[in-house]
Amino acid sequence: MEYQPTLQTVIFLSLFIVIYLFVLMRNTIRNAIDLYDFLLLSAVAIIPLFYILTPKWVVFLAKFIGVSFSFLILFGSLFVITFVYLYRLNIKLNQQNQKIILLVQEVGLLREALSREKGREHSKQEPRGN
Amino acid sequence: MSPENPKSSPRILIMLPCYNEEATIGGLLKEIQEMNSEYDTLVIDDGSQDQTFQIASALSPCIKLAVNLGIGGAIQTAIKYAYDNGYDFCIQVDGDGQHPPNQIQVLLENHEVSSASLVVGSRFIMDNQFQSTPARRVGIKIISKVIKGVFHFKITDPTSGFRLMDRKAMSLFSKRYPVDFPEPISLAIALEEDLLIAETPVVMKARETGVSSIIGLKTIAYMIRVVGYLFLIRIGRHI
Repeated sequence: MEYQPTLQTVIFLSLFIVIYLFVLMRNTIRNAIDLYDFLLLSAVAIIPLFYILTPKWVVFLAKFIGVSFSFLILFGSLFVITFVYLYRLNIKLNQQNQKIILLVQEVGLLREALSREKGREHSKQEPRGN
Repeated sequence: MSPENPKSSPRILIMLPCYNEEATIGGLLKEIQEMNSEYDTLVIDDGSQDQTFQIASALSPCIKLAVNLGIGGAIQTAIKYAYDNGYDFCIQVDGDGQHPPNQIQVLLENHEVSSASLVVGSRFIMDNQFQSTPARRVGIKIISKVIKGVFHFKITDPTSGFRLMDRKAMSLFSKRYPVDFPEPISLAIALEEDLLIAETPVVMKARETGVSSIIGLKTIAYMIRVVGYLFLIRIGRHI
């Protein structure tokens, strides 16, 4: 099952990889993406790159794992990365949700404590003996 | 009986979670205050858009949550308040008028006898009173059976929000309290932490205003979530 990527495939894929990684890197530097997420997302470009640069290795890997169609490994690994990414995202969302609940509760409690304190000070300042 | 002053009478906080309850909250607060002036009240306005906060804050301390957290988030806020301010007991009374204030004493009397950390008011121990819709009763029965099967604990009204907590329960729930559908799930948390739970018959009324948030497809989501969490909490001890 030897395969050789065509020149067009190499050109289009290289273009995609350069642009994609550039965008990812820029967003990571601007703190829009976490470093771990950058590594996971960049795998979407690095794994196909591995496929076009080292076709013999890919065939060996397919034979080693026992898959007749070597691209199954490509799609399989991309799926795994997608799910790992979703898993991380899910955990982060849940943590954010917990933090929001905690913050809303704390703000409510603080506001009440402040108004209680204000009321106490107000009653202290009022003249006595009416 | 507060921790600082063991001989004084217990400090009791009545927690009233509210969401758009302008029609009932004023009357309910007055009723509680006229009934027993020794009870402190705390209204938790869970992001209402109506005049609930304005009405409630004129009659009682009131916490306004900036956004709607749901009943679990609102109740946990009140539990934190009660725990931090040294209350001996906090009692949840729904702001929609379902829990008659004259039944608060029933919960306290049960605690005196049972010393339970969590006393739940049940609609289903006594007959001849309001007991919710038939469909809801079936759901409650299923949850009761799951609790019995999973935790070996018999409870007739696991969804009742009319409940008393002592400081032990407050300490637990101020750190860990479910946000959605909290009543049965919090029972499971309490059972898992070996808290003593008691149930006592109380009289409840149909809600005076508004409609339940658990309607239509949400009923199925409710059952899946509650039953799922009951199992997960039980398994949680072993993983």
